[in-house]
Formats: sequence, structure tokens, C-alpha cells
Amino acid sequence: MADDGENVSVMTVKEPLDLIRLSLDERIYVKMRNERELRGKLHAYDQHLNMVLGDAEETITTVEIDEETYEEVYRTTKRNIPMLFVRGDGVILVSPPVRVGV
Amino acid sequence: MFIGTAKEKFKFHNTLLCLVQAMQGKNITVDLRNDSCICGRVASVDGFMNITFGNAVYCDPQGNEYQFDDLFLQGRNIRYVHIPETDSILSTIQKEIGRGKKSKPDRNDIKNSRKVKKAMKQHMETVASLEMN
Repeated sequence: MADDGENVSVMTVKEPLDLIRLSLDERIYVKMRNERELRGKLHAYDQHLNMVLGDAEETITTVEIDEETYEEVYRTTKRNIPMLFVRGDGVILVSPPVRVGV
Repeated sequence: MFIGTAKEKFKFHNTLLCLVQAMQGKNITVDLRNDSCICGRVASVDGFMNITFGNAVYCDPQGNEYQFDDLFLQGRNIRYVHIPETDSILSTIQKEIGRGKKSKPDRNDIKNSRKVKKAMKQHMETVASLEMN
């Protein structure tokens, strides 16, 4: 799949998944179920949106209620995985990386 | 060669399932949908990504660890599979798909096979006998 790199400019987009092909070997952002997000380099994908991400960073967001003020406190935990296979049924959306903290 | 129903074979050849299959015999970590994880040696993977582990440790979200000699994991409970260091994903997939495939017999071997030689000899004998008459 990675060999198609030079053909990308002439490749036509016929179906939605072809858009993801444009992102092969690029860093992408994946929103997952259960308030999880992934950022990593897309090595491979298939029609189920199973994906292989290199240098993946997973962000898990949890909501806690402050016991005194009863405010919602969002806490994020991050972890890094060198090479990760993601099963497609947990994927919500795939996009080019979004800037964090802007 | 991958064994299974036609549907499983289709999935193996058309999706990234082959990459998970390539993990057979390796020690990997699998994250589950219920936030727990399994570390162990992959014994086998079928066409639905169900994985059989040998000598596995199951870690539940509370941090308890349970040891299993044999463990079967249903594919739909998988969230992530941590892939151990590999040189290239592409070559791993190619190797896995090519594994166990019968290589085409060499043309020269066919030409020089015993069956062909025997047929040729018979043919020459027939021709010779015809010429005699």
C-alpha cells in the first residue's frame, strides 16, 4: 500500500475510503468510542477501518464530579504505543491531525 | 495456508486480518473493549479475529492479574492489538499471504519429467514402427 505514494497525485477519489488512502504514511487523528482518541502515522487500513498506526498516542478522557463544588472535571490520560493495530468497530471518525490546545 | 470457510478465507485475503494472523507464535498484548488486557503467546487466529492464547495473563481494569494456560478471546472484544517491533508492516503482510502457498512448478521440470519422457519415447517408437512399414 505504501508503494502507491507517488501515484497519489493522479489517483481519483471514487469512494469515501479513497480519502483515507490519501493519508497513508501521514499522521492522522482517529476518534474512538469510549472517549478515546488516537494520533499516529497511518501504515495500513482496510474496509472495516481496521488500521495500523505507528508511534500512536492514545488519549483517554474521563469525567469526574468534584465532590465539593459538584463541577465536572475532565481528566486526560495519555500513553504511547510504537505500533498499534486498531480494530475497526471502535472507530468513529478519521481525519488529518487536529491541533491540540489552540 | 490459511484454513477456514470461504468467508474466513475472503477476510484473510482482503482485510488486515492477515496482519493479526502473522502474530501467531509471538508474544503480544491485546487491549479489550472492557478496558482489560491480555498478554500472551498467540496460538491461533481464525477468520473472525478470535484469538487462542497459550500461557496468557489476563489483567482486569482493577489491576488484578489472572494466569491461564489456554485462553480463547472472541474477536469482537478486541480494541487494540499491540504489534511487536517489525521491520515493515507491508513485508509482514506479504510474507503472511504468501506463506504456505504452493509455488508453481518450474516449466523445465515439466519438460523433463518422467511422464513426459515416457510419452516421448512411446511416440518415437510409434513413429519408427510406422516408418518401418
